[in-house]
Amino acid sequence: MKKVALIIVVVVVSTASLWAQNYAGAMQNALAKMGAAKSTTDFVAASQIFERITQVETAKWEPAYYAALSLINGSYTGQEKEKRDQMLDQAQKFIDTCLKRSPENSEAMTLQGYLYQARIGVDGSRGQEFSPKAAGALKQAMAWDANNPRATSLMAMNIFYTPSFYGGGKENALPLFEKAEKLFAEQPKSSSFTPSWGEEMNQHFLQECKK
Amino acid sequence: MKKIQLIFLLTFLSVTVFGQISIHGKVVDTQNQPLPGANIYFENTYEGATSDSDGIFQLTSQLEGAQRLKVTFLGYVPYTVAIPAKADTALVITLQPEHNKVDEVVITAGTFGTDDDEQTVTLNAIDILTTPTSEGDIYGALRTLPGTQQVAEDGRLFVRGGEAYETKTFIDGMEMQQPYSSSTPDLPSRGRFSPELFKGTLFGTGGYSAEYGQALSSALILHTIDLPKESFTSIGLLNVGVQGGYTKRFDKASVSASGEYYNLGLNNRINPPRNAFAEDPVQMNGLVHAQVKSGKQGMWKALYSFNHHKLIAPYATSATDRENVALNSTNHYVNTTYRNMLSDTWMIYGGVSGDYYDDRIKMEEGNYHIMDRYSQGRAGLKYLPSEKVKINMGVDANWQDNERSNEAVANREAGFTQRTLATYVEVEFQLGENWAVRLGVRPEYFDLLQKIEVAPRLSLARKTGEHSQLSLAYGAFYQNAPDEYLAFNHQLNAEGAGHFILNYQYSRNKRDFRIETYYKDYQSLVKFNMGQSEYTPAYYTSSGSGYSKGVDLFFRDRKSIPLLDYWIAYSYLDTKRYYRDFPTKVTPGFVAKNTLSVVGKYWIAGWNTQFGFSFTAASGRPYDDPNTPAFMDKKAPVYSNLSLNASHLAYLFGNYTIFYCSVGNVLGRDKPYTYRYSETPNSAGTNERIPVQAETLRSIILGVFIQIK
Repeated sequence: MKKVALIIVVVVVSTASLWAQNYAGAMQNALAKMGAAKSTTDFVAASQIFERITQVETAKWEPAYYAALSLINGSYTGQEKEKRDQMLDQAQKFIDTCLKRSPENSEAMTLQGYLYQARIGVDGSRGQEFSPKAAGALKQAMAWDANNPRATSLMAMNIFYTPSFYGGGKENALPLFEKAEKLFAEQPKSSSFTPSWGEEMNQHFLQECKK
Repeated sequence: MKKIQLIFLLTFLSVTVFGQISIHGKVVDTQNQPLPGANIYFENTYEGATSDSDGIFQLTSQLEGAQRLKVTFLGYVPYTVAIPAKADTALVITLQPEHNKVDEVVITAGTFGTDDDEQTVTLNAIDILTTPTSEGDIYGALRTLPGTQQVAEDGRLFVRGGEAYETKTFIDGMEMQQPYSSSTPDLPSRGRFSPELFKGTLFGTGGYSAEYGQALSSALILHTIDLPKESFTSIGLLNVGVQGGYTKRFDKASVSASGEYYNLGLNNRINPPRNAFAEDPVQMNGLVHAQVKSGKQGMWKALYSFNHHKLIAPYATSATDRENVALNSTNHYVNTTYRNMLSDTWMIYGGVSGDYYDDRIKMEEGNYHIMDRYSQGRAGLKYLPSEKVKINMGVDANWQDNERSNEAVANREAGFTQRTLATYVEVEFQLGENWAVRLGVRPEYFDLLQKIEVAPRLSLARKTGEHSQLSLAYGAFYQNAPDEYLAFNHQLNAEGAGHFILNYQYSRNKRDFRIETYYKDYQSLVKFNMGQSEYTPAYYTSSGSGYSKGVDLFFRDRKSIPLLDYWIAYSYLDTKRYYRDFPTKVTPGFVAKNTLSVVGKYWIAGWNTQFGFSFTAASGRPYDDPNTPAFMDKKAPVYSNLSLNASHLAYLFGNYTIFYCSVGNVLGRDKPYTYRYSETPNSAGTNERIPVQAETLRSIILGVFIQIK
């Protein structure tokens, strides 16, 4: 009977901590919040959950990745430039953490390129500075994983927004969007929290290119 | 009984396990304004909450035991507080604003940082190339910054009352002994390296770091580019020559080779100089450099440059007579450096360099030959325990062998071998939010003198507002006496200077303003003992002295008018020296009291063209008329120069192409820079006045640059 008591006690204690510290549960909750986010506040709140997970799960890169992603996406919803830049500064810290925990991670480097593009989103006159930076990061991400659909798609977007005069434009971007479409279709549907976003956006740009 | 025991145990456990922590509170800033959207959570747990629009939050948890509550918010310093177990707490949490990098206090007195990691005023390679007076020369662009003098006939940098040799150029931390191409008198020299080789420029106009020595006035610290993005071929065609290069990028390494050939022959037919060259200047430059990345932060770099320059130029010896001066100059420079992080907090860096040059000058009075060999080794450690503390230390050794001769004068060979060994330690730290302090010391051993000079350095910076700061710097600086004097007297003391600098800076929204005032005190300058022959050691003494003080103003605006970038630099300089052959303490001939530079660049997007202008004016420099008893009492005319350029960017056959045109002295202002006098009196017994002026009235550079990927 003592044994049973002990087992029950152990079970009770561990479910309690499981409930509080369930990685998958917390991640799913946060991902759902991010998916439903509309306003800057929503995106920041989602990133905060990821931030909490980041400081518990010090060996995992995914929480920091999503904390950054949520802030980058959120930066597009803001109005004040200064505030938007602050969100990106914070996102940068998460990307740094992510790359520290998982060096040569193609997804994290892709996010870096995505962040540079968001800097241009805040202020269009930064294109000259950040467009090459974004291209550099995405190129690195593609070097680390040639089959990364997000890196390919974002690189295509970079080209899309570059004036055709500098070798950009729809026509030059199209083949890369097509390649990304293929890579999106092929990407493994793993159950873990590896990034899988970007397909819809890629479709949208494919349509734009074909117009 | 056992059942009871179990129930009891479970109840007891549930009390401890589910012993609640309940916290409610408010997050505010230092002005007591609510901060909505702050992240409030228990450290090392997933549990947390977000503050609402009034900054209010409510957090209940089943966590066991005491906890640490952490509050984070964008742009604010994270806050942590201990929460006892089973607490029911009400809290008002005040967050301190975080100073992002732009607002941070940095040591700025005496420096013009242009590195990525420096937040002060920036001039990058593009800025340099598009500054019209630069004509593609780093030093030409730096002459539009405050604290510099316009000595157009010389071409080198004269900083804050210092002679040109008092400014040293460092490439990746290694001193470059001969950064300028050799030239004949009255013909300006240029920097040996293209600005494109460098990613950043740190121009220390005084009070610079203890990491660098052997420069009395100023340190120009150039950092070469890291790995280029991709492989490319570049071709340049100019009215003065051709250039070409190839860069190959590998995964973690890159190699570049480039060559330049300049021949002023064609240009001298189109835009003839005032006095024809007997042999048009020809210059050949070669450059090979390589970078290898090792690990995450390690970088190894190597650079070799070759430079050959040949010309026969007319040199005025009286108002009417000219003699030909032939120059044949060769320079080899090699430099290799390495840096890497040993851990998260320790960085190692070091390098070796070698510099060889051989100058042969043929004049009527004789053939001069100067040969100099120089090598340097350096190794250091940086310790970066936190963002607020930085410790840098190292050793720096160099060896120089200098030989010179005048073939016309028998036994007039001279030279020296000099070794110096320096160590340096520098500590930089932040005191609170508003103060930054840098303390350094550099003891240096001079082998010829068998003497140690200890150079202390001190800098302080204080934030005075959200966008402004005040800095103060003091430093002692030593430099070997110039080669041409040390060659004859090996016992000359190192020349010394003390710098005091006060700087105020205001930076906001791509507008930068700074004002800097300084005082420099010179000792042990080389003074000539006029009673002796100049070939004897006794002719040279270390008894010269001088001072220099002034105010530098700088304003740059990249904001007010879209696509217009302009800066205004003004320098006031008051300096006097008792040195060399000066009979009294006077202002030297390279000094203008007032100097003004205005540079502007405007990009017209529709035309893909950038237009640039630079205007420089300087008050007349003093010169001496040997026919009068007073010394250096005459003033040359006011100097002014307006230069324009245009760069048109095209995308031809899939390659970037730049069409470039620059015209110097557009207005054709025809005033001499200054005057010299003939060394020997004419038949009437007077020394004739000779104007020192530009070789052509207007300079014109045309070029096409193509980058092929």
